Amino acid sequence: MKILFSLFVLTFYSSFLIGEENSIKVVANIQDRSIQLSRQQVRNLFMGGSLPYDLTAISLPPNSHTRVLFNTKVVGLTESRIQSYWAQMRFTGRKPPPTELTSETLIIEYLQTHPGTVTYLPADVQIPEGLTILFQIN
Amino acid sequence: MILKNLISRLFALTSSIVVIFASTSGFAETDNPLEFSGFARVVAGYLDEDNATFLGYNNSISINQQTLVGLQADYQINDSLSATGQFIARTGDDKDSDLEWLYLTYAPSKSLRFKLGRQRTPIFNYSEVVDVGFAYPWISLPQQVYRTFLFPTYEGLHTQYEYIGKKVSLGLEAYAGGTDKDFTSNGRVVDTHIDSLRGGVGTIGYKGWNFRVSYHRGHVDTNQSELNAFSNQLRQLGFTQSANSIKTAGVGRFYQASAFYEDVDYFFRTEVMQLKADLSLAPKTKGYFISAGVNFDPISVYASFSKDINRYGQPSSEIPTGLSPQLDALAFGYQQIFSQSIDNDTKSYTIGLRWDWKQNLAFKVESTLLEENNALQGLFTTRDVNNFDGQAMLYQVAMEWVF
Repeated sequence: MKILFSLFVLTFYSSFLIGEENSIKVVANIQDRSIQLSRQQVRNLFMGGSLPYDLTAISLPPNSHTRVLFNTKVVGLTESRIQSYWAQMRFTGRKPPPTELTSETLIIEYLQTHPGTVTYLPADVQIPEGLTILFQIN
Repeated sequence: MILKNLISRLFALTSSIVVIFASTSGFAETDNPLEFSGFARVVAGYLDEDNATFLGYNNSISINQQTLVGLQADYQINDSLSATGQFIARTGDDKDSDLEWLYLTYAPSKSLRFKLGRQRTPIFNYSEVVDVGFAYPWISLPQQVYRTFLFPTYEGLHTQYEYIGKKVSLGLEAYAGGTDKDFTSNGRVVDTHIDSLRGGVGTIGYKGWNFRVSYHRGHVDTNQSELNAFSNQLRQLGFTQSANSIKTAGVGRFYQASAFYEDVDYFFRTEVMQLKADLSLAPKTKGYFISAGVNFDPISVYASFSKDINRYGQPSSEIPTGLSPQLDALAFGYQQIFSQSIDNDTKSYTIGLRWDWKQNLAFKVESTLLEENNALQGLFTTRDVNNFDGQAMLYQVAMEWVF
């Protein structure tokens, strides 16, 4: 019984860790801390769309594990398809892709000094004061 | 050898451009107001048929039909105003190298955008990026929808508005303009004047779905002097119905609707169109395609089916025959004009694979069974009517690059 209980605790804890590891949160440097976004709004924001709020998306590079998670859980498209989408947008003069920064550390620093910017990060990353979580998905 | 030379020249040209403008190129936004970018495609095709040709392909491998390089320059004048030019160098016999886009963009807000200048007409989903093969899975877009030649480009004003709600996103586009352009069709240059061109596009996005409906109309004048002279002659002789039936000017109208779905694992696309044109040599056309595929990122495989139905106006029978040799000759000449306008139905069955080798470089293979029901007119560019059965396989491989 004790072994069974230990296994149960271990399994629960592992799944919790895996869940946390694969969770994504969308954070922004904004004044209005009451804003919450839906998945559709986040998806559109990072695909070049404009929300009623003055937000500018900042993205990680395509080889980032966090970006792959974000593509899968929020955008719902493969990286290949996202690249072909940006080719379509760019060569028809429609929307520019988000600015890309090479690491999560750089992005956090950038957000802190640029009001109105928004990005996605792994849920276990410590969010500095001044940044607001707009959306989270497990 | 020819293939090797062409690819070498293409790479040399594009590589030089990339090196020259390396400091300013790239997809990500930079502080430099001037940015260069571009795209290139090398397409090799082979039509497994001795008695017909299609899109310039015949029973020998050709890379000169759809291979091209496009270069784009964007200059950000201030926060809301920018200028863009896009030049495309082509290899196909029927296609001219040209400055395809040249426009100013004014974006007073993130949701509203105006473009003024020379642009591609946004008739179908991929009309504006027909040349950017990297933007779509196929090598050749489904011809039953995308081959129509009426007003592909225009000079005018385009407006785009976007609204994103909690669950649904909406887009509205409207444009107006016109153009004078020589279009080359089947090796024949057609001097075309288009005015009163206008259209509207509505889109709805919901989860992985995107729905699009649009309407486009324009007055088209294909300046064909011989036909015009013959029409005037008929009118002077009192054969008004016959004269009217060989009009080379009139209004063309496109109706379009599409539904696209995609997620990480699958994609589904369907698009339907209808074209009605008051021109004797342009048929009333209904066309559609259905396509579905599976992603094994970075590889995707797909299958497509497309079909169109083309119906021409019938010739008038008001010119009497058997009364005089002159009238017989006139009636014969009139009927001859319609001899190249034969009602037809066409179909294509396509399977293909796309492999995104790098972030900006993809390889594709595709095979298509092409069918025209009467083996006389419809899908193929030329055919030996005595020996052609109306069916042929087209095999294509392509490299698509954006930089």
